[in-house]
Amino acid sequence: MTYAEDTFEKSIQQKAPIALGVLMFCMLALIGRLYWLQCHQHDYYQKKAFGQQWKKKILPNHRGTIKDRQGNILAISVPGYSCYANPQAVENPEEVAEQLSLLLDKKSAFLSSRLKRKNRKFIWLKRQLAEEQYEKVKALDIRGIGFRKESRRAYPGGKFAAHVLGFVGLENKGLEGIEANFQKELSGQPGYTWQLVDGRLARYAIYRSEAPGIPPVNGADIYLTLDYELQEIAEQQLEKAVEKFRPKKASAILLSVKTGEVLAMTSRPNFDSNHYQKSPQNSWRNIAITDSYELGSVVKPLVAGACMGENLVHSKTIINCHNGAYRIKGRTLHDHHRYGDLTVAEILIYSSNIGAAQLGEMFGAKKLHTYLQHLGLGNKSKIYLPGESSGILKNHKYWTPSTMLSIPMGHEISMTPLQLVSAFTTLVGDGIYRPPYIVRKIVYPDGKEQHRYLPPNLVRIFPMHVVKEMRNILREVVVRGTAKRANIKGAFVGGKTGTAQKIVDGRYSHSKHVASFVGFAPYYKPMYCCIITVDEPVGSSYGGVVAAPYVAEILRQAVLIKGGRP
Amino acid sequence: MQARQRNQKFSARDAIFGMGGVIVFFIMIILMISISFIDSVSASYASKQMQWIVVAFFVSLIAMYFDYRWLVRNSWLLYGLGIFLLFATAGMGEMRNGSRRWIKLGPILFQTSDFMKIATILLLARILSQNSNKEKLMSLFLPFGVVALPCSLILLQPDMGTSLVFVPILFAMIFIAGANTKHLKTIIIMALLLLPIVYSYGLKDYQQKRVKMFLFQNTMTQKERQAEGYHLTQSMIAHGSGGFAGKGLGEGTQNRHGFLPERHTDFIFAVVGEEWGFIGTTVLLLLYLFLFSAMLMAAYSVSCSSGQLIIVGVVALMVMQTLVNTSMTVGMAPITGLPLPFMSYGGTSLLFCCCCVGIILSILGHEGSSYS
Repeated sequence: MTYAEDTFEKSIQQKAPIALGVLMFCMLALIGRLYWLQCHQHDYYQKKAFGQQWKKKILPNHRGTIKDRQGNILAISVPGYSCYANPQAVENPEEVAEQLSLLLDKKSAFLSSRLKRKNRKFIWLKRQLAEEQYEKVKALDIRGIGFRKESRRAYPGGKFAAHVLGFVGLENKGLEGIEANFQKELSGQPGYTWQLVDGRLARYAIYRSEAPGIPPVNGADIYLTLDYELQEIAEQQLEKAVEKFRPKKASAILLSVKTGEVLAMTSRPNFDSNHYQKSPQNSWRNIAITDSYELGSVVKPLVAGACMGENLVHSKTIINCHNGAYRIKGRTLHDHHRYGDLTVAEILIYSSNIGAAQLGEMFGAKKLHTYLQHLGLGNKSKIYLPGESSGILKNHKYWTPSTMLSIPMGHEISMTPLQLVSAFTTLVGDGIYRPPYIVRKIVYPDGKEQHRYLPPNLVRIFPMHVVKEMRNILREVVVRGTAKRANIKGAFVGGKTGTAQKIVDGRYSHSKHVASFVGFAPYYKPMYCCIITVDEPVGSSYGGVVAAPYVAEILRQAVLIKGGRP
Repeated sequence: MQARQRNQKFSARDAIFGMGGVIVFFIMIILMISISFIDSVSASYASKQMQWIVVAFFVSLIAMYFDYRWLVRNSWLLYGLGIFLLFATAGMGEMRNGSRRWIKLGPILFQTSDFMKIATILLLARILSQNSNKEKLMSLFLPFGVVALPCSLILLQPDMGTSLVFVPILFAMIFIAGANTKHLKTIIIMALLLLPIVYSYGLKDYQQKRVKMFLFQNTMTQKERQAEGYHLTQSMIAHGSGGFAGKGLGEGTQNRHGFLPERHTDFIFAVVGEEWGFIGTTVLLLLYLFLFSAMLMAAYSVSCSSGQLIIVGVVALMVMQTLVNTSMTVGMAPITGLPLPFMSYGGTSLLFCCCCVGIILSILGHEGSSYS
């Protein structure tokens, strides 16, 4: 060996410290990094660890039931199944899609495109299967096809009161009607727990006791003021009217005169809440509250009642009706017949426009406006249904001199059928306005009940003697006036017809009308007040023909069944 | 004194007492820590590893009594055997996770590159201790060639981590052997210039991806990180959520719920970080530092040049493995399959490490004896 060993020793003596220094430097860098990671960034990574290790598990709850006033079920959530696929496990997508397309009522191209998404482990095929669909698909026992429990909203009545009830979309969300308006109360609060999950995530496993979450809270049950039997009657009668006169739209409302409760409410066109997608969207509208009209003569009794209440006239005051043509304030008013002198009562019985306009003239604008406002016109009735229209009642400051003539005839003022019928219950009930309402009580799962809130300051609008006189006058309308067809045996109906021209392109149309009739029974001690509004009837345009007979029939049956006691 | 020792063939006292004992002491502590953490991951792995420790103990005992100078003298033969084994692996090796690194010997998988590492260290020790004029640049060609051959064979397996380990071994050994520092500097600069070429032609796609991921980890979006850096992300979360004091042995959620991949082998350091926190990782790193220092001190005390070089080579090897493995768990190095010496689960890795330690003890024990 040419190399002396001491050279070597010298070499390692010089260089080992350098090597050690490099090593220690590396170690220090590593420890520095560890300090940064474990002490400085600890909170950040702690959060990340929690985020991936704890998963929220939703605990489903039960949506509340909607019932009528007697407790009959109108809408209920029933356990159901939704069908999903794990495309990675499906062996033969084309064949499976073919098999399922008939059973699930979906196109096989749609199904196979879903089954072919191999990057997915979960994909819905169809939500909320019908009972027999579930049974049949389950019997096939195809690999990669599974079911998940998902409750389904069922409406036993189908089209029955569909506009009031509305419907529920996916994910338990109420989209229309009571379902939408009381979404919060009905849906309750799904609970959740925290679950410790497996790193592979495909398999959820609980290793330790679950962390506390929130227990599910079931939805509240809602009791409506609707009466199953009366609603059925209203549905039938409106259907009859619609069949006969083929209108664009129609609606019927039955109110309890004493309380303002809505006993029945229905509209046409209608839909089945169970299969709401199959009907066009315009059929979902609850015409009874969403559409406001200039309803015409039905407004006359309200103005006349106000005049009588203010002692400006009494029912026997004679007013000159100028033989059917009256020129005033730059415009000419017309009647259907040439009337001479009419009493106030007769103005209503024969529905004289000229007479009514003169009644309006007696009033100051501000006073009439206040009256109408107190009757709930121009404001939403707050009936707790979505999409309600407030109608149009101009502020008296903007009234022109001719507005005073128009309003008693039912022009220049628009209202929903619901607003009108509840104003009418005031006139023939006890003279006190009660806002209409449709929810009797909400019963929470813990047993707490929430009853309807009653406004504390109920205002008397019409004195009692006016109310009593008005009942008799309106009875006369039916007996010998414009609504003779409502005078059916055993009903004792009183009421007022309305035949209004629709406004088309800014003008009153001569061919398109809104016919309506507001009736109440029995006239001597009214229990029920009912309105039917028919939009663009074909064949006849008179409220006395198109609406009155059906209102009378609803009232007759209601009194017959309930004995005047709802 | 020399005369007295010349008569002895081997002195167990020289091997075990002194620096040898210190080395063994630190290794035993690290092995104890290793067993507790492997047990924390899975009890069945821990009992298997215990059996391996017993086997490794006897293997190191044999290596200790075996005269290392015979190994040095026959190092060309061993090197040749190693190269043959590497070719054999490439031909008939076991395929795991897309690379051929193992030969099946009965029930166990033998990683041939482990044998190659020892053979290369031995051969380098022989060449460098005989080399006459280390001041000349030309004299470095042979050592480089000796390393380059196994290095490229292993890179083709592919096993980037192991092949990289050869580089510091070579540099440490020629550095200690007294090569001209100017030459070393030139070589390092040339190597750095060659890196991009190796990167684009020598590495497979997934290896390139890992390097890229390591270099650009701070500029990647969350989604990319999730898709490509799952190992790294989970390892960082394990370390970071461990905090200063850790979650406690066996309480690590990253570990126990299977979020951390390869947690009993390549990523066991992240489990330490999670369950023992900053304290645990620092203590473990200090233990390694003490171990390597003790080994270098041992090299210091040895007079035989080839023995010294062997120890330096082994230290370089273990330091490299330790640094690369721990750095990769904290995102300071690209992810490679290098195990943490004495900590990671795995029989051959442990056998190989203990074998190296046995050779060191043999060097210490044969210090006074002459080789005939």
